[in-house]
Amino acid sequence: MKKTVTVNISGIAFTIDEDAHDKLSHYLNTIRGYFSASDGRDEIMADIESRIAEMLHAKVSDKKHVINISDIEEVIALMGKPEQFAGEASSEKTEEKTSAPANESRTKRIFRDPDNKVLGGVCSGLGYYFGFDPLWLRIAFAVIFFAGFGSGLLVYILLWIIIPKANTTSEKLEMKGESVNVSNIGKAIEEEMDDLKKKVNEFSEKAKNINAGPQVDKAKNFISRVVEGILQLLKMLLKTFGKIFGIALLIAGTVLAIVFSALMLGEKAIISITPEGIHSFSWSGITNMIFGSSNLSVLATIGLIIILGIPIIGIFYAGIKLLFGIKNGLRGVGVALTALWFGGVIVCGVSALMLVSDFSEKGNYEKKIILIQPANNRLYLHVADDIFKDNGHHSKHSSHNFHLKINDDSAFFGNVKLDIEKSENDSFYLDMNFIARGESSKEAIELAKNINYGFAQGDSLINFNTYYSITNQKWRNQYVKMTLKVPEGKSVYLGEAMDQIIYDVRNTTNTLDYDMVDKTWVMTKQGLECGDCK
Amino acid sequence: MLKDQKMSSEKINIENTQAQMRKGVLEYCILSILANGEAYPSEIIEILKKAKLIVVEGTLYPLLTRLKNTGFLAYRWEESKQGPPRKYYQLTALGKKFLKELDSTWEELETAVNLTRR
Repeated sequence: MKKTVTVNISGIAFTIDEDAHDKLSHYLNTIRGYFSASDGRDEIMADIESRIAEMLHAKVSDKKHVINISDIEEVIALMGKPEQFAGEASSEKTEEKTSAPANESRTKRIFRDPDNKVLGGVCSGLGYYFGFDPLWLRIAFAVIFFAGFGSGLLVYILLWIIIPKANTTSEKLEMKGESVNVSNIGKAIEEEMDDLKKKVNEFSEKAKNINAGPQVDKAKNFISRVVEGILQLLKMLLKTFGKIFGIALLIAGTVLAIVFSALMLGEKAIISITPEGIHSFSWSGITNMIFGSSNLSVLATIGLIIILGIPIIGIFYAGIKLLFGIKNGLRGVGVALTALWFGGVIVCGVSALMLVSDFSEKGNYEKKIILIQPANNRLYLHVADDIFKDNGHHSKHSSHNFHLKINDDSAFFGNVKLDIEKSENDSFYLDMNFIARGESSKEAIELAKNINYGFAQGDSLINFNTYYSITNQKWRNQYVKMTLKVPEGKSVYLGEAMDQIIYDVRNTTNTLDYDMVDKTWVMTKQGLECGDCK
Repeated sequence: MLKDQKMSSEKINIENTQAQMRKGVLEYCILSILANGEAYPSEIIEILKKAKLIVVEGTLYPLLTRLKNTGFLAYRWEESKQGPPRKYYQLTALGKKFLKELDSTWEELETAVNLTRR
């Protein structure tokens, strides 16, 4: 006769002999001892008990109501001796122990998610890494694309290329792993600092130990160790502040990219500040003028984009790698970018060469203008309103030749020169030379003819424009050279602003141009002589 | 047990080596079995026994739980006339992918072992 116990296994009630119950109880406790909570111990024990209940349930029938010890022994045989569990469990424990520290120090790595992608899984991957819904990032990219002249697209493609795809399941798990947030980064930096302290201590230990050994070797050793120590220090700093460097580079790259695209695509984006004021142009306006909207213009622009754009891409690349700690980039990206950059240089070089040939021939279009002869034999020379003078300030020493203003289809250049010489007859007249360059003499002369320059004479007063203009023409270093012929015995008065267009006017006193203005000059046998200088 | 083995003896324990070989393959076999459809632990044991892979039921449960926690398996409950409700395990999408990788690993190993046996 035996004592029985009623026991609840996995929700099913069994009547069981007391000794059988003790054996089972001991068995279960032994097994339980092999697992730790982190192994999912409770769940495993529940599964095991459930299976035991199933097995025992099969043994109970109408004829037999009570579980006995041989039943339990059968169950244990089927289930397995505790030591056999131990094989599973403790290896799990050692695995857990060795992998746990690795897990703690290893934070999430960034990957692209190929399972959740719209385009390339960039936004999904970033979403996992930072812990937010990728939808926001996709919206942000779309907005930047439309508002920032498409510069966001370049960033996206860069990220697509640089961030590796999560291929294996372990990579996918790493992608979704422990999230990166401020406290984590802080923890990571702390760990780096501790590492750093350790290394510094090691280094100072080594330095102390150099006391043994001969003198020369001591010195050599010490120096090499110092260098090594400094390198280690730099490496540590880079790792620690790598993320910050990375962000800084990304910001710099973004700013540059936006400026760059605005420059290329926007109107009136290029601003030049001269002493005369601020002028603004558009990029396409300038290229059209220089290259004459042809294939050459496009070619040169492409070349320039490559030359300027690739360094920007390089900055982004380095920034992203630093920020996310991506160690190995795609193979050949650096090489490809450098090759492309040199390609851009070559393209620019070629277009420059082709451009040069456009300037090879010079053409001169001459016009002789008979002027109205002044009643009192004196011409008063003044300049008309200076279109370059935006704020009324007139600088006497600025180089007028480089003044430039571009409207929609016309360009105004200040490259106008006036010389004064003796007339071979009795009359004032003006020799006008319009000069331009071109691919051929014919083209050069055509371009010269198309220079628009004007002056107005009323009686003895002449108002010269300080500029010429070209409309829908190529810029081919056009300029206007005028020579005013003054008969002997007659005179001219140079207005105050005339120094803008007079150029190396010979005179008997070798007075410089800017000192010649606001004075009257008489043409004598020897040349121009100052008439009212005191 | 493995840890003790490593620490105490410098000789190879034959049973241990064999057990390690089997153990390494066990996860793979479980995933392969479940690739054919869902099953509960006793069924899995039956198939393994038919395949002559010696394993006791006890070792299965921790393994199944681990696989589930990693995300390779999922389970659903089903009422049973023979006792308490049962867990029916199935492969997840992640589990299927992992299985494919193990397939390649197995083929690589097989080739390697065959070559070295020559």
